[in-house]
Amino acid sequence: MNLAFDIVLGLALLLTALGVFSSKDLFRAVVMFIAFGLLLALVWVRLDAPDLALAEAAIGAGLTGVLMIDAVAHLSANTLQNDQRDDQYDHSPKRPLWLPVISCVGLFVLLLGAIRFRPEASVSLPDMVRDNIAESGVEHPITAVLLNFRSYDTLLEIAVLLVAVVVAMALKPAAEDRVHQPPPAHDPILHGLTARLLPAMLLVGMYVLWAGSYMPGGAFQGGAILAAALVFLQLAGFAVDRYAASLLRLGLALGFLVFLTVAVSVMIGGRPFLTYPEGFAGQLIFFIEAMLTLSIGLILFSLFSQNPPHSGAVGHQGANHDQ
Amino acid sequence: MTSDLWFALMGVALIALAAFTFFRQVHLLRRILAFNIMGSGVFLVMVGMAQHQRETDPVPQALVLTGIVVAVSATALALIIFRRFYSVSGQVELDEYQIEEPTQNEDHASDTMKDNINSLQDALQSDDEAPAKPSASKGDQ
Amino acid sequence: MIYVQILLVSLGCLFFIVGTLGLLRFDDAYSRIHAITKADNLGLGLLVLGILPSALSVPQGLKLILIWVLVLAASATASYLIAHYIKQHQLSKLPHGARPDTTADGQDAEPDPTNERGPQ
Repeated sequence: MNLAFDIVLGLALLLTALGVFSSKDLFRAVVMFIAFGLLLALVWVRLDAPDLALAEAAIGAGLTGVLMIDAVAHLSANTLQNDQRDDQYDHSPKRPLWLPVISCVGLFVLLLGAIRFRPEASVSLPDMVRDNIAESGVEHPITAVLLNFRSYDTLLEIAVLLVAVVVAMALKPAAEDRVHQPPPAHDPILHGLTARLLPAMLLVGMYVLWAGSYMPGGAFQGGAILAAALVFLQLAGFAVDRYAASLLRLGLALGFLVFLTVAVSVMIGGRPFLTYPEGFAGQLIFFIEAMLTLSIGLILFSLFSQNPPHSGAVGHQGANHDQ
Repeated sequence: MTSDLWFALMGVALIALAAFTFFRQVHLLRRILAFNIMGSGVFLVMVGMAQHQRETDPVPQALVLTGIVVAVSATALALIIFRRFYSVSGQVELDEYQIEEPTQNEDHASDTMKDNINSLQDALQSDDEAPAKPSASKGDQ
Repeated sequence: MIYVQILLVSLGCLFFIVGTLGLLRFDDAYSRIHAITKADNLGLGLLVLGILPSALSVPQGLKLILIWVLVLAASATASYLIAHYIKQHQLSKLPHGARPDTTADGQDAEPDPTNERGPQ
């Protein structure tokens, strides 16, 4: 029965992906992509990975979807003006078909072979995690892996995020900083909903962060929820990014800096890089996680808000056509 | 057949299909979409194969969690770069012979590289977003 | 009790099917919003009601109800926003008439970003 459900779910996932790939209309492809993210979150639940489901629902379906829709809207706002381009959008060029076909089939066969001849694991990672989790300072195995056993990954990940947002800031046109941009439209209903939902969203984010030490949840999911809340706020017409720009920039680097400081300062006591002293591991991990949540949320939000606003352009365009 | 194996197989199919689309499509947004789905396929293979006929494994799950967050930041960065590219060149694809076509506000004679640098500088200095420029020459609807 | 639950869940699923059908088949965006809100509100409400007796604890049941309330608030606002956008831009019938190839696409309530050339 469960397998039947999984097979249907997997096929639905595949069909949604096919919909993304084959739909003529870009907006439709993006909507299909969001549906794909939601189905993937369900798949993670079925794979016994609730952490991934949380992250996928907030990031894969939520944030990525918003980013893509924003990009498509930006494109359409500008495309309307030079419509001779429209015809070029969806066609595939007259290029040889053999390259895509060979790469597709080759990848498929190779990966199937890799799955068929999967090597036996020499060590059992779940056993190792279980044996050492008492010393890690947290009870939830995934948090233990992320913040203790493989904390290098997490440290480098937050560094990668920081680099991404720095590059995004560097690419931002300087003109965007001017103040005479039209204020975003205030919609009373959206405004009201945001005002009521925002405390709940922040609370959920903090709860997910707190819960991460003993059950599914943690810095990444909490950060994603925080980012979603900020994006929601921005879309509802509150100009979050203009209220506290300098504070925002400090927050971007805070997670990485705190993590690095902790990682290095333990070396004073003669320990290797990135190990926690006994007895303090739990507190240190939670402290780092809290800072990481803040930074991840702000970084993901900044990656969204670095995009030039375009809603005005869309409005003008519609108005022009209506005349 | 366990569901872990089944989802890993779905991941394989997603990777292959996304690779096909990635090579076939020229529209950059579609390529970004395909790239994202390919990443999801990789995640599925990772978690599915690690858990196939074994117990739930937190290590690949933690790796994939990291991967999801990095993937969204990479996507966001790709979209920002795409927008800058679009605002500078007016193109949505990276075909070499199409870049030769002059953009409407640029000198026709100069070579492509110089063209791009000039227009990038223009865009960085100008107050307006560059895509508004073609419309200026076209006038009203 | 279990039969009541089965009945409620089946009814909820029925509303989802009907709502989806309406989303796919209706012509203009307003009707589609109408159809999809039936699925959201009634369908999900019946599902939650049907699952509620099986909740293991009171907090779990409260969470189920909270999910429904949040979806209600979100879908009501989203419907309003879509309808408002359509009214502002007078797009109600456009996607259907302009591009017959994508009428099955439920998301035509928003203007079509790449292929659209304006209302007329």
